[in-house]
Amino acid sequence: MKKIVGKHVVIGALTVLAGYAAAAHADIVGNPKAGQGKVAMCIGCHGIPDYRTAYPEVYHVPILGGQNMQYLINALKAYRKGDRHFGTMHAIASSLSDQDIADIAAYYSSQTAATQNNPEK
Amino acid sequence: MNQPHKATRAARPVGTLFRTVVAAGALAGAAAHPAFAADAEHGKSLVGSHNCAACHGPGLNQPISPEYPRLAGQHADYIFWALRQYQMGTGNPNLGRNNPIMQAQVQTLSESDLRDIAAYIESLPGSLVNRK
Repeated sequence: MKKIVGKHVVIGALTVLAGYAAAAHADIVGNPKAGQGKVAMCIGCHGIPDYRTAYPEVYHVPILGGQNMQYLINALKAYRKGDRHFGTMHAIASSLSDQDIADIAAYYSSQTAATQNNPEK
Repeated sequence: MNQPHKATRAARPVGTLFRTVVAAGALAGAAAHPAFAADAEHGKSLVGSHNCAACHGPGLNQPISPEYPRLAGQHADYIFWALRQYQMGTGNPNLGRNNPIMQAQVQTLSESDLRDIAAYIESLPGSLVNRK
């Protein structure tokens, strides 16, 4: 009897926790329109064809337009946390909220060959 | 007080030897990579043998999960650096990129293999676009 009650309590608790987790994710939805106004710090490098980094290695900064949204979200969060290493990206990502990151990722991932340059910039 | 000076003197012959070895290595390296030309055809065969398309999708342009990046047409020098960072992995806390799948994928590849893969990826037509 005790065992059964314990099991039910655990299942109930897990269900509630899973609900919270789902709700926390559902709150943040990226909006490409909002992202359009948040990429001022991005286009100084990623908006210039042929732009390259200087340190610790010289390479073209990656093309972002048309990239997968979840990949971009994970990348920005990893830079913010320090799991991915590039000084400038860490500094910029540290200034972004989860909502900013979702909007910026939505903005870049929605770009196609037909997309015009940002009219706000 | 004299200790650092002594240490420097003792280290001098070793330093000279080190410089000679580095210079010889640089010359050998230059000979092995004329003009750093990457071989995209070799890159293509490596991409096939390492099953990159299993995750990054057909033409490396349609990843099977939104968490994986679209690669086709991405800058070769960026791809090379990303692959190098995966090779460093957690062993280099200042530069390494930590992803268990990618770390395993690149472990046996040489730097010239990585350059070849990167050149092949850049040559692929894809849906990445550069817009402000």
